[in-house]
Amino acid sequence: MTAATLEAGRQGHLDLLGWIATTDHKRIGVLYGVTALGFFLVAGLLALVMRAELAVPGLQLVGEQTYSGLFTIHGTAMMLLFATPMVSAFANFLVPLQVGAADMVFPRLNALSYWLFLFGGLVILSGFLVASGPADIGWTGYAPNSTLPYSTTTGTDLWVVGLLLTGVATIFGAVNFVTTIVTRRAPGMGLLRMPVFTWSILVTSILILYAFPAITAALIMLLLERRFGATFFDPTAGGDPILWQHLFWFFGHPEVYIIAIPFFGVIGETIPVFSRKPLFGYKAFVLATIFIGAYSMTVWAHHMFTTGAVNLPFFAATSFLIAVPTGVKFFNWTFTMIGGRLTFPAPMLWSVGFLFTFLFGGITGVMLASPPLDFQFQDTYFVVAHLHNVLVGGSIFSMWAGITFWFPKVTGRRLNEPLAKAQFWLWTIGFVVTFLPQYQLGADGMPRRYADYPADAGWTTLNMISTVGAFLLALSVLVFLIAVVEALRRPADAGPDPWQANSLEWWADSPPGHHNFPNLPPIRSERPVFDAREAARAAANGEPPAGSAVAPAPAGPGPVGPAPAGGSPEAPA
Amino acid sequence: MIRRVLDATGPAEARFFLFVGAFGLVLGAIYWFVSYELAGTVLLGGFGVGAGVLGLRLRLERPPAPVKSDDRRVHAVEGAGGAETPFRDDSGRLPGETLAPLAVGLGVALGLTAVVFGPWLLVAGVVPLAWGAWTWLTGARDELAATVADDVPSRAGRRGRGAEPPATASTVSGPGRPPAAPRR
Repeated sequence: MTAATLEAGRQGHLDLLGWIATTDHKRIGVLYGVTALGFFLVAGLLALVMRAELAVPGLQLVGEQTYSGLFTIHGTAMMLLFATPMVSAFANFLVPLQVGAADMVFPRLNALSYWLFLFGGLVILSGFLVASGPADIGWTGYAPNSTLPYSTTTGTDLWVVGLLLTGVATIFGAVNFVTTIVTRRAPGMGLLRMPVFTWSILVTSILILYAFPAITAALIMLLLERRFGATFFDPTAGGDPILWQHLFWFFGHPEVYIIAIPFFGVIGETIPVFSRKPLFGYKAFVLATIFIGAYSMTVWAHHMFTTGAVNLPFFAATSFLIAVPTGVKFFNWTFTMIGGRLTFPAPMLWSVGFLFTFLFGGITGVMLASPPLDFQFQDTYFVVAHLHNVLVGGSIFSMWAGITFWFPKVTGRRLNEPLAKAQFWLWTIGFVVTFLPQYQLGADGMPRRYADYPADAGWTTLNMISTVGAFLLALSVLVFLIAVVEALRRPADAGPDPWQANSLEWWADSPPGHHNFPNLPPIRSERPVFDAREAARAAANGEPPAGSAVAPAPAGPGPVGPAPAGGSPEAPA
Repeated sequence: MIRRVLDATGPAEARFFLFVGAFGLVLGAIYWFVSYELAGTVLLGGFGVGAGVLGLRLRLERPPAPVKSDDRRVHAVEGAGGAETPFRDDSGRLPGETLAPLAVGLGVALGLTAVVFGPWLLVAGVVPLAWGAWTWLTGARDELAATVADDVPSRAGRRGRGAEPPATASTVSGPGRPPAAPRR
């Protein structure tokens, strides 16, 4: 394929060839985001089928085998084809911009990461096309259930191969992020002047580099066992199924933080902007991020309490400890808002929604870290509710916050505010209605991963409520898609810095040009764009620069503009 | 060497990775003595060793920082903040659009799926993989050659202009490689 051919292809309406051949981090970020949202829609549809099946007792829509495939692919797709790649989407688009770089250190490797992720995802979903059906082993793939005598579908082999591909893609991406953050920061941007989102990506990438090789090794062992007769996990042939659980959860629990920490970073970006204050306790926030990441590597076996094969006090203690740095972050967020000049556009609504819903997930997580309670709730809907409270309440609420916050930077257009707010309320109500009843169902003893339940168990009403909530969530996503289409039909007029924000990406055009920045403002704090805006305001008013460290901003296409109505753009810290 | 590792004025990146490494090793040791369980100990130990090696390497590759000035304006305006200066490397060029990553990814995916559906997929995967790898490597080689060719005048220009970023000039072209752009 020559450059001339590529140029010819670019004449097409959508520049399809340009997108396929791109090595630009921003385009790769958009590709990651759109693809991940596509997988999200697929996984969401599977969830709707499951919730419809569970609305009333009896088997109405799908049989038990199909149901097993549905929850397996739903969990896998939500965790590894949606949430994890969505982290890559945000990080790809934002990290080079936030550190003032022209691109990632390894742009081709970055593109390869995306393609491996896409093909891996398609391989996993292709299980629906084979005669024996998709993988039916749960997203945890516990051995020996996942070994050949017990799971005979070709879909399970495709699940293993697909996860190998997406896992390698994620590792490549992490290598790129760490290298870019360590080596490509602009002059003046020391580690403690990095935006908190970039900090969260640094910690997340390190977690990926240690957690994903464990699952990659486990998947290779499983593939060897299923296809080549090796024995690692099947106890009847001398294997050890507990080894799978160790390897899986050494990946699996950090994975929860891999898809949570970056979104903590998102909230660390949005709340200060809409509170018109610097982030309260920036250094404490960074330190808490590091400690959450480090502790997350030491709590894996709290998922294995009931195996009887792990040290309960060690893992209970580390699991309780991880709540401490997470609590520190809550203080950072709430104290940033206290005394601030709060406004509540859609990104801030999502951020506040995150605080409430994630807090609920965190508290129930502390409950599950206690072995006596965990023994009671193991494999019940309480765990399902907790998991979704953490992942939906934590990651997806803040993902929506991030999408609505950076949408103008990516597209040059703001989302329609009434539609974005309608989506928020539909989602929040739907979320509570879906998952709150599941705590009670779990406490009542309803087991997870069953397609049916007895009519006389007393679970029907709560299940019906939960199903109604799931359809409200789907309606919310529909509103979001309408808002996106509506925004893209308008001209790009958002400007470089529509929110009067802080970090370097808001210095670039919206959407940013091919190599991001023609110039950079001086960087002497974690808020260089705020500093430049203040310097420009002071210069316009004939005042001396605020603080000895602030120099006039350089001329350029940066976003320096008038302060928001109401005087000073920032409340006292 | 030990003094350099422990030097508090060393780069923050190195201290960060050394802290993570020490955390993994200490937790790994505690875990071993409370559980005598091998798999988890190896995983925690590997976590500590990996981060520690990276921290050591960053620490030893970077010369000690100059004495830090209290005047933050100097750092900001000059963009050279002693220990605050990142591990920046402006050399190298950005690649243009290329189908090589897509081809390599497709080849690897087809090849790996051969484990499930048979060796004919392996054969189908070799073609895009080989083409993609060749295009990738030749593109990288041409960019390196162009960077080396630019390096001498660029350095001379930098000496003459103080702290400006490296000059950029030539482009790279060839199969699948529209003009490559300089990093800055």
